[in-house]
Amino acid sequence: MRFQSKEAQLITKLIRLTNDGEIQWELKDPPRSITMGTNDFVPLYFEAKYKDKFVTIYQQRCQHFSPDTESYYWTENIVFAILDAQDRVIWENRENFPALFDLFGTVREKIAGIDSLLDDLLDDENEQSFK
Amino acid sequence: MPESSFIPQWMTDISTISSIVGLIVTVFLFFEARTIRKSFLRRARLPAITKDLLKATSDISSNLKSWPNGKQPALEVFAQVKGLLENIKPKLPNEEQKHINGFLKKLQPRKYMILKSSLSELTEDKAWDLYTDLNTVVTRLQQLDQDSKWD
Repeated sequence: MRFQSKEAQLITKLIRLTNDGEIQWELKDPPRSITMGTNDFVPLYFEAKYKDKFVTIYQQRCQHFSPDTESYYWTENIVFAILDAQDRVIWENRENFPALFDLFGTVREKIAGIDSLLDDLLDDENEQSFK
Repeated sequence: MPESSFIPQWMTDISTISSIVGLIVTVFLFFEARTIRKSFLRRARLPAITKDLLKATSDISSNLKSWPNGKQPALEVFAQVKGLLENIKPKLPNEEQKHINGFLKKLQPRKYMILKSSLSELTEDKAWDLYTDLNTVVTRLQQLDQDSKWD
């Protein structure tokens, strides 16, 4: 039985490549093609070049209106997209797919250098405990 | 000489037909009750199990990233996933059961047609492949959970 969609395979591959440091992500401002004509807020936007294409993963907060409570509420999505050289979105995936959250987490860890940050903090702790 | 009955033949015929119809209705109700029971169990258990599977999927991803340092943590989560899927499987519709069976067979393929292989035989590539499959399984269960709210 074949389970995997091509999107799922690509996202898993990107998690592995990101973890192995074979793909470098950059924290950037989202391009106008994503922010224009919408009230959605993009707090974190990461982009990487992979095989002559630009892949991007970002957090998107959207406002919705609830007719039941007659009030607005916010939801948050993780969106994965492929851009062309002019920053136009040629494909995007905004399904609630668990691997998307894992890719986003992996990219964020790499960008923030969580490993080295924790190592630094632990080194300080060790130094203090020896004093 | 056959003994004559005081019940007219037409009444016997109606009784026989009613018995056959009653049997058909009973069989139908038996299957319907089973479906309703399954649906209730699913509505009660699916949200919690899907949440646990979602957490396990994320844990697998974290543990696979440190596979070269030791594969035991990832294998432990795969064993947990196997338990969760085996628990929810009987409560699911046939199509979803087939899908989960397919995943479980891939997780522990049979050796010599009988013996199940051990989880410890998983390689890193195979484990990542299973992680991708698990994502699809969890997404399907999430959708089923949403559908169940309208049952």
